[in-house]
Formats: sequence, structure tokens, C-alpha cells
Amino acid sequence: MSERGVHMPGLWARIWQYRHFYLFISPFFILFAIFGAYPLVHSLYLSTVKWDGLTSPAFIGLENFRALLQDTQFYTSLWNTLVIGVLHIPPMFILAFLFAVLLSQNWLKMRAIWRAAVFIPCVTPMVVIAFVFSILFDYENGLVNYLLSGTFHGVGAFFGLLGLRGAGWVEWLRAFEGVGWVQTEAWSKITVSLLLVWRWTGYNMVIMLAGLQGIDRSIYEAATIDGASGWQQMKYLTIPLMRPIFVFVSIMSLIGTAFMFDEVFVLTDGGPGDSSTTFGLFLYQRAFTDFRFGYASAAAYTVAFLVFILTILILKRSKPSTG
Amino acid sequence: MKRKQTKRHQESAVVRETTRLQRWLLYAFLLTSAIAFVFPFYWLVTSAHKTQEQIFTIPPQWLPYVHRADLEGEPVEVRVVETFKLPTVWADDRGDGTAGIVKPHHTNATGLVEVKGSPEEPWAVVTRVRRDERGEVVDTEGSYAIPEDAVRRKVHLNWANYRTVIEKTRLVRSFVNSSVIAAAHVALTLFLCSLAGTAFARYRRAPGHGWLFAFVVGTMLIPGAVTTIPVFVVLSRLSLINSYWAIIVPGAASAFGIFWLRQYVASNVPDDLYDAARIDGCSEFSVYWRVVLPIITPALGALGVLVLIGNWNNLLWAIIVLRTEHMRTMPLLVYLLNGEYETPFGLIMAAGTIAVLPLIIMFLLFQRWFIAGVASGAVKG
Repeated sequence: MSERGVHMPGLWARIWQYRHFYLFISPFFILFAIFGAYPLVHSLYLSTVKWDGLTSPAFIGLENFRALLQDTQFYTSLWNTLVIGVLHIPPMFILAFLFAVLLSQNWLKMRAIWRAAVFIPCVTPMVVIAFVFSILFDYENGLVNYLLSGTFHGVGAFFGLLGLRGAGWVEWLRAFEGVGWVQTEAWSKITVSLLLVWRWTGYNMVIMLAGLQGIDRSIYEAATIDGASGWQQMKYLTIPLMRPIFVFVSIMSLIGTAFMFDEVFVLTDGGPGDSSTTFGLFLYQRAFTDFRFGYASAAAYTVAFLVFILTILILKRSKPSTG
Repeated sequence: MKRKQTKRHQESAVVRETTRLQRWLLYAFLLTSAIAFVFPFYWLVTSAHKTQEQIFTIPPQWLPYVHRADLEGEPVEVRVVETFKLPTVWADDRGDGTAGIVKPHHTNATGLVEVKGSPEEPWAVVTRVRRDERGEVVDTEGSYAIPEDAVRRKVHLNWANYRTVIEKTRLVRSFVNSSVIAAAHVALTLFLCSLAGTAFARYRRAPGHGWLFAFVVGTMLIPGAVTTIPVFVVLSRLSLINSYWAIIVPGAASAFGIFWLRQYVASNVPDDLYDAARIDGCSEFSVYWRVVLPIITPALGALGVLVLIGNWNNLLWAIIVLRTEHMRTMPLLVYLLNGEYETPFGLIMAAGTIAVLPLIIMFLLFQRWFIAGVASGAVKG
């Protein structure tokens, strides 16, 4: 540790001794105080007022929270968020892990190309991709429905030729026109989930790749010598060792899903109706469309708290059981 | 116990012997997935050259085409409205239906005529396209039914959408806005976080060191959405709304940034190096600027691109704080092309391609940094 001058005792002296520390962290902390710490506190305060951003705020105590608990739109958005989370996180997780494992096999050629292809969705603005998805997933003229109905018609015709004409499902196949995707309430959440899987698999794959590469390969050699099969090694070595990474990915996905905005806003704007309104969109609508800053702050804090609880639960569950 | 032959694997996380068939299957899976991930970009780029109708025709056009046909004896550019197969009845109020070119005038005309020809031949309904001197589509007129293979098509890159979106919207200005904001934000974030990170890594005995760091890291657990409204309020009190600063400054004091850089400095800059530099006569700041910074360049690159991606692509903040047309960023511009009455997909695709291109190019050039930036999230304290 570099020292200068006479070594003086006392707290203030030590502060002076390390004055460069405070100097160097001060730009960061000044901005952090203004845009990070103070807003956190201010948000708590805002959740107790009724304010539209223009007129004076009016203190109303816990009224916002009471109203929130009775707001069906709030519960709908939570439900939508939950469904979308359940729909997209498991497939994305599995795919990311699968790709990470594949990409770390040493017999694999052109690794950088596969990695780039899977990751490239992550560098793009969601707004652009959402428009592309609306074209591809258009009900009447979208490529996806075109391919789907072509396939289904073909399969139906095939089975029709086999003499199964008239069977209900064959007729259904041959008459298939397409899936509702963004235009029906039933499919809007699924389409959003598809977009999310497309978008985030690469990101989580890279994280898992880093985790896999951190595992000491000699343990695999030892296991193979002991006669463990590939599957056994995966189950008893890789997966337990990846646990911290898995926990990290899960928590990040949880937080991200709860508050996500871009994807839903541009692809469906919460619709049709409010079938795909996630909590992130709900928050934006309450704050910047309805201008209910107090209410929105209360909602944000509530869900942040819920997410925090869930995070703690995940962390507790993932702790190894015995020492 | 059965003994298996081991192979020495360099990077493998799963040691297993794979058969050739398994490997080919896995390659096929990778290829299909890679195509699925990259395909929307292909569609984006090709759709930028299509007109609204071409984007939405069935069967979908895999490449942008221009269509020509001989109508009334002269070759003209046409637009294919629909295709159908004979036999079908076609409306024509002149009752003049013979094989060859039929000219129905109204879609709800009286009188029907059969277009004669072989039943299996596909036919196309086309309209004639008129362009002005610059090549812009001015008008379409008429409605002609001709055999589909009389329509000649050629791959053609139609730059009209690009021209329109650059001239009619302030796309160049928005691109500049995005670039300036992104560059400034990244620079500010890197500077703040590296300086503070170095300080935390180096001056470990400073009073309050532990508390301050724990405080910063603790806020990482709190989702950003909670602070959106208050930050907006702060910005408006500082009269920074609708300025570059509104997007550059918030978020520059990144808890994640300082967390990661502190750890990187701590594990890559030995304490002796500081002392050596000081002995050589460096001021405290020079130690940071001339000694630490060069060492942590990879981390700066990785963090930088991560921050860059988030900033360039950001839509929510842009919507909230940017109010006038000349301050818009690229994502906001693309979003706002979506009008009340119709969505001009061709224009959106063209603007979108321009919005997407810089980061994709950067990614292809600096892949290592992008990957490292994301993977750094995996390195937990």
C-alpha cells in the first residue's frame, strides 16, 4: 500500500491519507446519488402520493397500494407475465444449455459461426425485430402461416390418399388456414414468448458457455476412467457444477420478464385487448399514458418486492443441502 | 468395471464418444437453429427492397423482385395482385373473354366471362406500374389477367424505401443522435466505473470502503424499473428533458460496471505495480490513467460493448425523454414510422436495416468483446 508523509493516527487522518480514494470515487458516487440512490428513496415517497407530474402531489398514504390490490388490470398483467415467463424461460434455458454444451465439444468445427448466429439476435433493437415478426407472423400473408398450412395440407393430402379421407383430423389438416399469432388473444402470449426465446437464447448460451469453460476438465477424465457414461457425467458432474450459473440465469430471466417492455410494446402493445399486457407494459401505461406517477411507483415497488422474495426463494432452494 | 478409452479433450465439458451419425445430426440441428436465428435479419434486409404489397403477397417472395409482362403488345412493369388457377370465372363487363389478355374494368362488374385456357395453368392478375423519372412509383392502373408464366421476374434491389425514409424523415439526424449519445454514454460509463473500480480495488484500507461498495452492489438487486419515474422527475427538474444528457447520464454510474471492473482490476493489477509506478513519479491519477487502463482494456471493451448495446437499442427511455423530431434516436424513429392509419412496412424495414447495421458490423468485428461482456455476468463475486 503506497504511503506518503508522516503516518498520523485518527479517523480524519486516515481519510486524508486515502483522500485519492474519495476523490476517484466521487464522480461515480455523485451521479450514483442523483440517479441511483435518491430515485430509490424518492420512488418510495412517490408511492404514497397521487401525482400526475404537473400539478402538486397529494399525500394519500397507502391508498395506492389499496387500489393496486383491487385493480383487475394489475392482476391480469401479473398473470400474463407469469404465463409468458413459464412459456419462454424453460425452452430458452434448455436451448441455451444445449447450445452451450454443443459449442464446447471439441469435435465441433466453425464454432465461432454457430456462436455468432445464435448470439446475433442479442445485439439488435427489439423494435425492429418486432416489426419483422409482425410481417412473418401475419395471419393471412405471413410466411409462418404459409409454411404451416402448406405442411399441414401436404400431410393431410398424404393421409387422404391413404384412404383416411373423411377422418376429422385429416379434414382439419387440409382445411388449416393458419394460427392467430398476434391477432388473437389465445396466441398473443405465445408469439411474445417465441420472440423472447429467439432473442435471449444466445445471451444465456454465452453465459452458460463461460460457466462450462470454467469447469476443470480433469474431473471428466477421472470420471471416464471410473466408467461413468456421458449421460452420467452430465447428470452428476456438469449440472451440479453449473448450479450457480443456472441460478444466475434464472434470476436474471425472472427479473427481466417481470419488467420487460420493448418486446411487448412494439409487437402487440399488450393486445389484442389486454391479453399480452405484461407488468412492464402495465407500469409504462400507468406512468406515462395515464400519468399516475404515484400509483405506478407503488406498483413498481410492489412487484420489485415480489421479485425480491422470489429471488431469495430461488437462492435458498439452490443452496447445497449439507456441508 | 468396464474401462472406456479416454480421449484428451481440450474444451469439452462433457466427455463422450460420439458417432459420426450423431455428429451429423447435431450439425443439422445447429444449422437449422442458426438459420432460425438469422432468418429474421434476412427477411428484414430483403423486405426493405419490397413494396407494401410485395411484402404481403402469397406465396411469399424470398427475394425482392421486379415483374414485367407484355401488355397490349409492349413490355411494361407490372405488379402481381393475385394468382389463380383455371377454370375460374372472371368478371368482365365487356364480355370479351378470349384466351390471352382479358381486361376487366370493375371488380363488381356485371357479366361474367370464362378465361379460356388449359385448366392447370396458373394465371395472374396484374396491374401496370407507372414510375416517374426518378423511378418512384406514381400510379398503378388497369387490371389484366395473363398466364402466370408470361410474367417475367428478375431480382431487383429497389432502393425507393431507403430514399423515401432518408428524405422524408430525419433519419440522418436520428442516426447522428444515436451515435453521439451512445459514444458519450459508453465513454462516461467506462470512465466513471473504471476510475471508481480502480479506487475500490486499490485503496482497500480506506475508511468506509466496505460499506460504500456493499451499498453500491446492493442496489444491483433492485430492478431498474423502480427508478424510472423518479429519474424522469429528476431530469425534468434539471431541465434536461429532450436533450442528449437525458440518455447519456442516467445509468452511467452503473453498479454492475463498478462491480465488474473492481474485480477485474483487483485480479489483474498487482499491488506492487502501483507502488512501482508511484516510485517512478506518477501522480495518483496517472497511475490510473497510464498503468491501470492499458491493463484492463479487455474488460473495458467487454463492458463497453455491453453498455453500447443497451444504449443504442433503448426504446423506453427514448420514448419517455425525447420529445421533438430532431432529437430522436434510431429505435424511436423506427417505432414512430408506424402511423395511425397504416404501417408502412417497407419504410420500417429500410430504417430498421440502417438501425441494425452498425451494431451488427461492430459485433462481427469485435465478437470477442461482445461475448466476453455478456459472459462476465457469469463471473460472480
